[in-house]
Amino acid sequence: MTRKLLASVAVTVTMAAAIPAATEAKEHPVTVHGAVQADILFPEEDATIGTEKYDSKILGNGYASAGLYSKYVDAGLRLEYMQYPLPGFERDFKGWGLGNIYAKGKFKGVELTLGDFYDQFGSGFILRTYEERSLGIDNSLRGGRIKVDALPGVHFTALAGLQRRYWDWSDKSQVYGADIDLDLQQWIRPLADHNIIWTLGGSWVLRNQADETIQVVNEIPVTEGQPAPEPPYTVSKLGLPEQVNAFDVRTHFNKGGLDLLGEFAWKDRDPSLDNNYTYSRGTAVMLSGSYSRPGWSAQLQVKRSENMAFRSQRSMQGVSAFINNMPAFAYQHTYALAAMYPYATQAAPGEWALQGAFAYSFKRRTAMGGRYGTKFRLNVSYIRGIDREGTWKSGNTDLYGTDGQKTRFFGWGPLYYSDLNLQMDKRITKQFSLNAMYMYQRYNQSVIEGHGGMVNAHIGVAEMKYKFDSRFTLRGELQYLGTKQDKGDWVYGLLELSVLPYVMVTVSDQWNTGTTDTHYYMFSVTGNYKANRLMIGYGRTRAGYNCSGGVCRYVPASRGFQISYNYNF
Amino acid sequence: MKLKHIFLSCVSAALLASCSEYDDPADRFTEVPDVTPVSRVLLAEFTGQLCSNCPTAHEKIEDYERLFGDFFICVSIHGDNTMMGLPVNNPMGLGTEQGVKYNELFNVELWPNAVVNWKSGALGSDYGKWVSKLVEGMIRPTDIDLSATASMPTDSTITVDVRIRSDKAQPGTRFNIWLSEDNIIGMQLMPNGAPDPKYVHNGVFRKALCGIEGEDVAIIANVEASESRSTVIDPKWNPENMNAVVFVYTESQGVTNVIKTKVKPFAKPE
Repeated sequence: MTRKLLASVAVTVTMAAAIPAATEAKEHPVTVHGAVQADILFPEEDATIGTEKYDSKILGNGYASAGLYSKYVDAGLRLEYMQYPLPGFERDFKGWGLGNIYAKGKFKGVELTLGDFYDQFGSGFILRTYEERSLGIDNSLRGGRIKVDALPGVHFTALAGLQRRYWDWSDKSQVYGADIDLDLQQWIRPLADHNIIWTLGGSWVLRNQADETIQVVNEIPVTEGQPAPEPPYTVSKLGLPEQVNAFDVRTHFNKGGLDLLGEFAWKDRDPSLDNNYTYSRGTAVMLSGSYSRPGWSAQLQVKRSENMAFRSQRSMQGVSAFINNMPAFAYQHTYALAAMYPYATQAAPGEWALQGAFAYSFKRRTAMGGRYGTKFRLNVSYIRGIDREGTWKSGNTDLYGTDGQKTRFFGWGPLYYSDLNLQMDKRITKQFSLNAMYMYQRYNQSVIEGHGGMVNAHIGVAEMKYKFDSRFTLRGELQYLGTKQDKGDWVYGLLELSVLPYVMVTVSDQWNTGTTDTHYYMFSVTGNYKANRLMIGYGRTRAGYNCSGGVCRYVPASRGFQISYNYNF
Repeated sequence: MKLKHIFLSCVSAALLASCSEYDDPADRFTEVPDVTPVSRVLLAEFTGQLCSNCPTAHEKIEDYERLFGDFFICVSIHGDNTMMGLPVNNPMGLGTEQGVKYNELFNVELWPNAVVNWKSGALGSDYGKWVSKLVEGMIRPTDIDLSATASMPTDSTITVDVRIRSDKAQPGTRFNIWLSEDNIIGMQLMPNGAPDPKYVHNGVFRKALCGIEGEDVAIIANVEASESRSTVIDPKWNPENMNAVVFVYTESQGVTNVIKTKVKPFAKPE
């Protein structure tokens, strides 16, 4: 009894002494978080599917990041290793080192960041820096940024830096910017009283890049009776503006289920390789509206953009060095065959893009809803070029130094992409659920990939899930793509057995029943344990495009063992 | 009131920023003086039969040949099926294993592409940079004399004889001999996305006789260096349409001289 009493007293005294320290630590905790990611391929050459030749037996991309977070200071860094990168990344992607390092101070609504940072103004029309590892994109800025949220309803950002392009932070080009968002409901009381959110925003970005030598050669016409000039040509150097400004204004209105967004962006004369060194200004305008009620929702968006490729290096090609990002207006599909022909946003030539979605849930225990309810979703994407005199062609040196081809604002050019898909999500029984989709797609392969003409495809998907018990779930997918163009028809099948919470076994095959009669099989086992995730697989990956947000990377065909590991702490 | 001032300031800034020194098209070009060519220049074009933008590059090359004449020498290098071409072992393909290695050597990953005088680096499809590097190479004098003859001593071999002379020592010089072929009728994907099966390919790279990076050659002041290389004719080649492109280069200066000579056909003994 005495021992127990003494022990209780000791515990109580200890806890009492610990409480102030714990409280202080709780008030100002310092936490450390981070992640490790490694994707590895042991490549094998396979002439049937047209793989590359490999110099290394092991290829992989690795990332390790750690960050320290506290009330007043955050700091972090990321180590990257891509000395032998996975196939399909641009050559300058290869390398290793400290890809990201930053320190951030926060105090009373003011935040100052030094080092590498990501940011976006509005919808990204004039500034969007982000990391997308599957595409090899990291266009962060290295410099300084200040964010001020000290005043109610006013959000202000100013930044300046050098843009990262793989392992280079070129000081020949700098990016400066400022952004302000105003929450009107903070000052206009009736808005707040009616639960209305109404914001106005404006942004400015300046790219300052040193001059480059871009020249054109012009033939001197021969005058009859006069001796031929020697040399028979002149050479002229293009004057390139070193400073290019871009502006963006936007408004956003939300009340209850209604959401409206309008945005307009404008870019100064920015002759670049993307636009054939023409001097016309770039514009983008977007209107978006959505309405939702319990049980249904509708959304409609329209965007017109022209000459809005904005890079920190005007003569760059490929997917790198973009300061901005024009949002994709095509539905981002996740089913394998539905994503076979993904759309890449045509920022330089421009496009008209419309996207609509309608979703409806039939209630359970109704004729259409069944016992558990049924959800339907209809998505439509429709993208055309803009109406211009002549055809858009990269490398058209006749346009160098001009204002480019004349365009009409409301005119449409050729069809680039369209996609209509109807999706159904239905639980049939307590254990069994079904997702189904029908899709009709038109894909202008000539515009998007440079060859092939218009591909018209009908796609059907059925995804079934059967839950045996709380541990075992079996998922299956069956997909079919029918087209008379490109490589013809495809069939896709997948079976996935999940043994919760630790293991998942997947086997799949993508079979081109059209021109090649080739199977792209894949077998993988995935294990999860606490914060660890490990996937080991073997199979073939077909050549194609990996797209995210309208930006696409060509991925060559590959075969071999794959290991993928993720750890978060 | 303050908001109004801020708004008006932003509009004024936007309007001011919209004024550009390049508003008048006449202000966008500055003529480059003294562009009379004095040296030949080598453009290695990286191309592919499945590259729909490559015919545009070929049109540019035809313009350069017409305007620059003998000062401009172009060889078109094809790779394999991972380089917008057909597989190397495809009988209709124009790619070679050496062509693949040249693509890798210069880190070519977009087509069409070009390297001027060996040292410009891959210029992508930026024709404005092609012109600037070509002009830079043509107006730079050379102190190396280079001559070459190419002949067929037998009906199955090509021999190229090279003579190099300079009035200064030229340490670190390497040379190479590229065989190229004109008038090859073969498939080419066109800008409209459709293939043209009867496209005429010119200047197609066939073989480097001195390996990928050439061979060292000792150039001593006022002493002529002679080199000779031979090769067996590949069955795919038509020697009547072939040329030898000979160039000397250093790592620091790039190509210091280049010459192109037609392969003289085999003369059957009487």
